[in-house]
Amino acid sequence: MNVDTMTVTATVGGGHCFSWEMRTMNTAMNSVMDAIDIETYIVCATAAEGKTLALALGREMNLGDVDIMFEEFDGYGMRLRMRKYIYRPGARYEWLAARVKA
Amino acid sequence: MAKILCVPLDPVHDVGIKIINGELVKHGHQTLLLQPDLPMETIVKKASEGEYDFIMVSRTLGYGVAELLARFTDLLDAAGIRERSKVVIGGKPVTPELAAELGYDKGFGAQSSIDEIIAYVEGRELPKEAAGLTRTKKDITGGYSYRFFDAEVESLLNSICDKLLAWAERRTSPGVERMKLRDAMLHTADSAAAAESRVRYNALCDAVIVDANHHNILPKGVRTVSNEELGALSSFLSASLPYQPVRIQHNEKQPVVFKFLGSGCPIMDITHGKICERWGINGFLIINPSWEARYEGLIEGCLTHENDGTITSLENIRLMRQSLDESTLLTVRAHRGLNTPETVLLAGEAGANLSKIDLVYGSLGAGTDPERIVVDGIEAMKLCARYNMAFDIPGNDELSGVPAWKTLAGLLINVMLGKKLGAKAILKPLFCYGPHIVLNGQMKQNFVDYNSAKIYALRHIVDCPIWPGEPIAFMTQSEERIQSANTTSYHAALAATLGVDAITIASTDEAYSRGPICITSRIDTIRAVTDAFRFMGDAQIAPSPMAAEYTDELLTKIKDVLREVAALPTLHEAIYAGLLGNEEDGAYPGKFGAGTVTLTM
Repeated sequence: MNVDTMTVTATVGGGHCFSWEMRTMNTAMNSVMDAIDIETYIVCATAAEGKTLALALGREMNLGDVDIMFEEFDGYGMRLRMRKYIYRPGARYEWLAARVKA
Repeated sequence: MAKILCVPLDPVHDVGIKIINGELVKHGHQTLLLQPDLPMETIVKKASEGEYDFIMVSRTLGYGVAELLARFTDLLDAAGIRERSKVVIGGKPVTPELAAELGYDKGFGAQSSIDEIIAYVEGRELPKEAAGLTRTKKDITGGYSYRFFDAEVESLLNSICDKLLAWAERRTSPGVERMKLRDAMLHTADSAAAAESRVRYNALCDAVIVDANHHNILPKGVRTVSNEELGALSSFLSASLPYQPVRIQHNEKQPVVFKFLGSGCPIMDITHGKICERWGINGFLIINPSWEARYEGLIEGCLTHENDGTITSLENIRLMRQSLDESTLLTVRAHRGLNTPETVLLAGEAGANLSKIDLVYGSLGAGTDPERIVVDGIEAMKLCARYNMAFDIPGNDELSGVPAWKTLAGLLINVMLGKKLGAKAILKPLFCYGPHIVLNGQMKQNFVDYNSAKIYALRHIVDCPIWPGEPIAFMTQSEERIQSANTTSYHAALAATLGVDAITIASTDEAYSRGPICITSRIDTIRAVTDAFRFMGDAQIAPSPMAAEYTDELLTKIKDVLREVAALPTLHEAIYAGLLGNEEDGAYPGKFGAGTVTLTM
C-alpha cells in the first residue's frame, strides 16, 4: 500500500477555489468504483452446500462476507453471482482522490 | 496515398480485413487483399514483391496464435521488409500492449474505429472532436401538436379538466405556499423580505426539516458533502475525458435512452452518470428518497445519503446538472409527496430539463392524498410551463394491479391538464410484465402484443410523445445478469420498432434489493440495448393479430373510465371513488397531506 499526502487545488461552482491536503492510499481495491461482482460455477452436491462454499470463497479471496445476488443449482453445481461492496454511496471514495493525483 | 498489403492471416476469417480494405480503397489508398489461409512464406514473398508502406494483418486470436504472429514478424524481419513497411495487427482481442509484445508497429482491437485506422495510415491525429461528447440535446416533445384525434375523448377530458381547474382555482396547500415563499426567497435582493419569507416557510415545514435546515440535525444517514469532496469531484471530472463516446442509437429514429440516478450520493451519481454518458446514455432521472415525499418541506444543501434515493435539494440538482454534459437530459421527479410544486421550482431553477408529475399515480401508487396532489400537481404543471420543462406521466399504478385502461385514462387526463396550463406532457405507459395483464392471460402468448397495444391505443387518441417505462422490462428482470440484460434489450427493441420517443432502462442489478446499483451493472444493459438497436436498425417486430384486439379493448374501456370520471364533480373525487384504480385492483388513495388543502382568501 502506498500512503501519500498531496495538495489538491480545485474550482467548484461559482469559481470558488479550494486547496487542501489529502491523504491517499493507492491500492487496487481502493480503485474499485463501487463493488466487485464474482460470477462463477461451484461444483457441489446441494444448493445449501453451494451457498456455504460461495461464502467461503469470498472469505478465501479476502473479501470478507459477500452477498449472494443470484444462485441457480442445477444438480451438478451452482451458478452464482456474488457481490462485495467496496464503497457504498455516502462513503469517502479513495479513487476520487487518487484520480486527482494522477 | 499509401500502398497497403491486407493479409487475413487466418484459416477462414477475413471479413474484418475485407471491410478495412474497402474503406482504405474508398479513401484513395492502393491495396492488395490476399486470400485467407495462405502459407506464411507465400505472404512474405508477396510482401517483398511490392513496395508496401503497411502490411496489415488480421487474425482471430486463439491458442498458439501469439507464437504464429511473432513468427510472421520474424519472417518479415529476415526478408528485410520491415525496413520499408510498417506491420500492423488487427483483431477483436488485440490491444496496443499485445501488438507491441508480438513485435508489431501498431495494433487495433474491438474498440478501434475505422477512422482511427485510416488516420494512422495517413499519418495524422484524429481530430479532437473525436474525444468528448459532441451530440446535441434531444427535444422529446418537438414536433408534437398535442391534438386529440378522438372527439369524444377530447370532450370528456375537457370536461374533467375544466371542472378540476375551476375547483382548484380558489384552493391552496402548504406545498403551494412553500413553493411561492421559496420562489420569493430565490429572487429577492431584499434580505429583510427574504428573512420574513424564511420564517413563514419554516412555519409550513415539519420539525425534521427545520431541524435539518437550521439546527444542523440531519436525518439518520444524511451528511453534508464537504468542500474537499466537491473539489475532488471537480478535479476528477476535468481530468477525465470520455474515450470514444458511444452512440446507443443506430439511427435517428430510435428512442433516446434514460437511466435512473439515485444512489443517495450526488458524487457517486455524477461519476456513474459521466461513465454512462460515455456509453451513450441520453438522460437521467433523479430518484429521491422515499422519506422525502412524506415531509412538508425540503432539506437544503449539498447532501449525501447512505440509503436509496438522492436528496433533491437545489444544490444537489444544480451540481448534477452542471456536472453532466449539456446534451444530457435531466429529469427531477415530483410526482409523489408533499413537495411537488417546490421540487419543480428547484428543478427549473437548477436548469433541469424535465420533471415528472402524475395526479393519479401520485395518489394511487405513491401515497399522497388525492385532494392534495391535484392542487399541488396543477401548480407544478404551471411551473413546468414557466421553465419550459416538459413533464412525464408515469403509469406505474399498473404495477399495483390497476388495469391498463384505467392507468391510460389517468395519463390522458394529465396530458389535457398540461395542455390547458401550457405545459408539455410525455406519456409514460408501463412497458413490462403488468400484473393485471398477466392475471388476465394477455401475456401468455408473448410480451409483444399487449405492450404494443398500449402504444397503438395512445397514438389513436392523441399526438403526444411516448416514453415507455418505467423502467422497461420491469418485473421481467431477475438478479441474474444476462437474463436482465436480455429482457431489457428485447423490450428496447420492441420500443424502437414502435417508434416511441424515449425509454428508461434499468441495470442488471435492479432486481437485487440488498444494495445499491453498481456501475458495471449499469453498463451491462446499455451495451445490451446498443446491440438491440443495432440488430433492429429500421426493421420491425410484427405483433400478432391479438395486438389489434387488445388495442380496441383498451380504446373502449379508456372511454368508459373517462365517462365515469367526467360524471363526478372533480378528479380527486373520482380517485377517492376508485374509478382510476380501486382496492380490488390493489390501489389505495394516499393519505399524506390529507386535510391540508384550504380555500384562498
